[in-house]
Amino acid sequence: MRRSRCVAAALMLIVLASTAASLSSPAGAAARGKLVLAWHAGLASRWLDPQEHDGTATPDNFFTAIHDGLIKNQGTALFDHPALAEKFTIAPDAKSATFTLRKGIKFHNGEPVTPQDVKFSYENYRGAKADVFKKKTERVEIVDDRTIRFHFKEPFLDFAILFGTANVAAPGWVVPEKYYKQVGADGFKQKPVGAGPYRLVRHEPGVKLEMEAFDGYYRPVNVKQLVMTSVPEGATRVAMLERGEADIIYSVPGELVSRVQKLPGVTLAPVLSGSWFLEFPGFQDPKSPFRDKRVREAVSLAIDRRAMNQAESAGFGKVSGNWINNDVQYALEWPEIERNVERAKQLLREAGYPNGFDVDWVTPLPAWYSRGERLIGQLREVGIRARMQTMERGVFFQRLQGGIKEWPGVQIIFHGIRIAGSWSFWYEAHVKCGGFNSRDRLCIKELDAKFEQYERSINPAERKKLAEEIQRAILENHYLVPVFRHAFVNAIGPRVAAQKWQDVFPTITTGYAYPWEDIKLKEQ
Amino acid sequence: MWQFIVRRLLYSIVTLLILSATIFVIVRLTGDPVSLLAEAGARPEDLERIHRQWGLDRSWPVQYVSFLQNIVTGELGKSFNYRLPVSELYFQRLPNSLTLGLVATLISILVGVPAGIISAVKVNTWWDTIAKGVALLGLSIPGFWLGLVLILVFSVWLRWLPTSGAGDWRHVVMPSLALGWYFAASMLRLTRSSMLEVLGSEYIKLARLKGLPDVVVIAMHAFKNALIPVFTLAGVNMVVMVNAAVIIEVIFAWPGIGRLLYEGIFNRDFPLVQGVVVMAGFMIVGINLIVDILYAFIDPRIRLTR
Amino acid sequence: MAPHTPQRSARPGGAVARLDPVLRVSGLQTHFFTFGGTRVVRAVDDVSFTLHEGESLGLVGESGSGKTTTCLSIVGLLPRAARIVGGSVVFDGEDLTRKSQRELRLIRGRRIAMILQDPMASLNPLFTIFRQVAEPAFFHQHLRGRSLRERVQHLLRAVRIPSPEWRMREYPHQMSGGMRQRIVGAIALAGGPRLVIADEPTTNLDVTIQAQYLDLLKDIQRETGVALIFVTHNLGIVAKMCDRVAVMYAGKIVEQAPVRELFDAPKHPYTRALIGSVPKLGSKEPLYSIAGQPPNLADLPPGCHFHPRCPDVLPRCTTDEPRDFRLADGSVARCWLHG
Repeated sequence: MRRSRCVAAALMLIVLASTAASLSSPAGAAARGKLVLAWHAGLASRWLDPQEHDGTATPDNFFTAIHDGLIKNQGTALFDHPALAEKFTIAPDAKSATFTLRKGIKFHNGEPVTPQDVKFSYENYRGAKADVFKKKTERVEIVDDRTIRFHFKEPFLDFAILFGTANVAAPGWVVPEKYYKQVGADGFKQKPVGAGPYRLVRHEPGVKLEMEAFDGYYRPVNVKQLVMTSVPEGATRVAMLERGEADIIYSVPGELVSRVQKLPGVTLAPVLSGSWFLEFPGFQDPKSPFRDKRVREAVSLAIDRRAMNQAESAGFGKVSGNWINNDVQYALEWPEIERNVERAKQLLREAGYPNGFDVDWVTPLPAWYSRGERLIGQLREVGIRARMQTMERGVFFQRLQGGIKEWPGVQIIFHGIRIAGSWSFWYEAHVKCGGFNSRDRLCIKELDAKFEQYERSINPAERKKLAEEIQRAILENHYLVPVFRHAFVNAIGPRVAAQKWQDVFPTITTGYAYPWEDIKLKEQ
Repeated sequence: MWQFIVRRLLYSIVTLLILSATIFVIVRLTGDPVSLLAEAGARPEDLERIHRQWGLDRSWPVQYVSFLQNIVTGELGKSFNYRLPVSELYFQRLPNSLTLGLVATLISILVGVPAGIISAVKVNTWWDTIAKGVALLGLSIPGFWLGLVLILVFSVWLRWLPTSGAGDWRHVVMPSLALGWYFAASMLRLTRSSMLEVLGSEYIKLARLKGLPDVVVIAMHAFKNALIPVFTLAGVNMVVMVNAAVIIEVIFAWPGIGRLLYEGIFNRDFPLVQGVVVMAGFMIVGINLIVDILYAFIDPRIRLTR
Repeated sequence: MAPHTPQRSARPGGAVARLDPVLRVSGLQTHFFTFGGTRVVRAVDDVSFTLHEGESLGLVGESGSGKTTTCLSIVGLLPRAARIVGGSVVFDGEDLTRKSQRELRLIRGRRIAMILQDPMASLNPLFTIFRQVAEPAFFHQHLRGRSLRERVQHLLRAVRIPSPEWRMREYPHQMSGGMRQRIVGAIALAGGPRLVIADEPTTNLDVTIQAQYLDLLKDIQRETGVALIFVTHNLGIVAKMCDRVAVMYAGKIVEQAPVRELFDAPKHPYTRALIGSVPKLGSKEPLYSIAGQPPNLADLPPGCHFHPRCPDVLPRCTTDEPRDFRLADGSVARCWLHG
């Protein structure tokens, strides 16, 4: 009698203990195994600090593992997936935004994530778009121990997008105030502490990041050890995959795609990436052949988009009708443009170019020269003759920012870009007069006026309408000619559990494999 | 002897100053790093902010003085990308590069020098032809091709060696082979021509006339004399291998200085590029001094004259 | 002085005793084969002479006449492109042309020694004097330690180097040309040779030093009884140093005679021209030089090789190569004038 009661008591204790254990550490109990990611470029330490986000679509691969944001882009959610915040509301007048933090969330050093840390992260943010936030924010109010409210000077409709898209800006990614001040901005980049699913265990600058599952994370983390290593040479990454030294590799070189496809247990993950489109700098000049809409349309009809996709992305890219990616707010869907060489030639005849004409230069984004060559070949078939201009990457950007004077004569620029968040960022950068890349090369007055209207508007419905009108105008007038969306071809090794590649790359706003905590290894 | 060393040191300081000024100007001529790094979607305000953060809004002379100050304090400036003092990054990677450089230098010496000697002693015979063929292969086969072939054969097919990265001795084998291969060929050629020149000299003729055994003539009389230019080359080669083995380090993802330099250039990380180049300059100066001192040990003409 | 004391007594330059010759070269032919064997240079073409103990033979001629190649043929150290294709070199009764390199190495430096022309280049700059002088004794006579050191000092003293104990620790670059050439002489004597070949040993020395050096050589020869072949283009030295002279032209010996007879009555037109071209002190006549150029040894003229430049040329000289003619005063001349 006594013994069976002891046994029962012992059993109860065991059940209670394991329940308590599994409740308190949803991550720690299940995390097992090691996953190695071979990254295709250099590894800058400053990417580990969301406070100095440089606005490119690179740092998010790294800080999403170590840090977390109030809301973020995950899966099919463009920006509003609730993460550290379990809910949030935007005021109807768009002059404030309120976030409620989850219960019990912690930083890697055990400190709780508080609204004070959120306020610090927001106010101390010095990264891309920081001036926008600073200009528009009136104050940050800590409502209670889990609620924080941002007050704006005027309606700030883009707040949520800017706040929640990890490859645009990161003032909503929370860093521990005390620790950050203690080690300083530079020290933080060597030894970052965040609230993300993984904590950094070992950091070899430029070489490797070794991370371990954080058992205080509010979601279960599957893989215990996550290693990201920098391997700039494509063939070496493929060799690592073959040898089992890497489980996920980014950017499989085109000539090795077929080899990787044949490897047993390996899945290709051709993630849709940058959009490629043509710009006609200074087309409004009366001397430019591109001032005539028919000529621009002819160029658009001359392009064999499918062939381009096949040749440049092994067919994994996407041929869409809009130059703006469909993973941003208010992006317009537009039907694919079919190639029509005859119609293109006819349009050129009507416009007064029966024998075509010469283009001084076609300049693709360096160093994607093969697609530039293909474009030139395709244009030649309708009588438009051009040469390709090559230059170093840095020079290209400098020339872009130099404006029309850097692009004399008759030229075509073949852009390749990926911008996340909102369609308006695309417009601002590539069409607007004075825009970062467009400068003074386009300056389409009516559209700029409408865009100003869009920016001033505080009515989402009105905004959507204006957005679509502007995009339609651009596409119908062929101010910019979309070519295709190329694929960032990655590969998943046999140890990773994946029915299809989208299981490992579920987030459509990025080419990277986050959320990291969801990746599973087969033995689990 | 002291006068000699002091004078050499003074020349070295002047050389390093000129080097620092040159690299300072050249990196800045490549353009603005900030616009390269901030892609579309950035605003002019963002660029301004980064300019200020990295000290690029100051005038060139001010930046140069700051750079010199950094060299003197030993910090060598702070990398834009890594936010660490360049010296820290450099010395973090130095052991890896030294390992690779030393092993590759050893390979180049152990393969190149004996082959060069044999080829000189048996000039115009089959041995010589084979050696010259090997030298030709070594100098014309590009390092990246050889590196990738080695990975394919020894790592992917045979599964004997790991593909890349640093670790234990197995990781060093392929990169040092791919790196040392080219330099072995140049060592071979230099040793061969140096030996040939020495073997044609009068004192070797006299040594033969003394009836000395061939081994003594070659190993003692000829070899020591022929070694002198080979030494210099080995020294310079090693510095190059340690600081600028970019291709090999990129292919094998070797965490060395060459890769650091490459990424610095790619990202226009001025302080990093400047710092690495200046460090390489220091290293060359140092190695030259060591080689000169070694000469003094070997060659009494240097040791005993003013 | 040397351990190897000759059994026959040395004699002053002049009368030659009729003993077995130290060296007898008969019909030596050494050719250079270049361009894969298509081009043959007859550097030494049927050369014969004899040398007795204590005797010194002068080997005279222009550059390219074959003097040095003859000497190298004797010791068997020809460059790769050259080969002895005929004749014999009999040294102390053995034909050196039939010996292997290994056997020759035992003779070189020990029984036959050579002094080279350029004292600045003959010594290895990296080794001490001691090392370089000691080597022949070390390898041939297997001397070691103290006996080796004493031998080196002895040799250095024999070539009149002051303070040999200190000097031998020094390096060649610390010495003057004259001193270096003496050291080369010491190296030559180190093995106790029977024959010393001196290839233009004073050409690169200052005139003042030359005389001293020649005196030294003569004294050594007198003391040791060593046979000496003295290669030079300087007739004055020949007159001073040699018992007999052989004049070479285009790979052949055109005249051989005792020194007195050669200068008093040269038999071959070339010899006459050579002697005539020596400038005379105080004379105001224009310098005499031999007309024409030395022949291309790969493409020699038919008949007598000298005939294109000969002032006394006969018709026969253009077609038939002359043979040696022995003359009454002991000269041998290879010239149709005496046939």
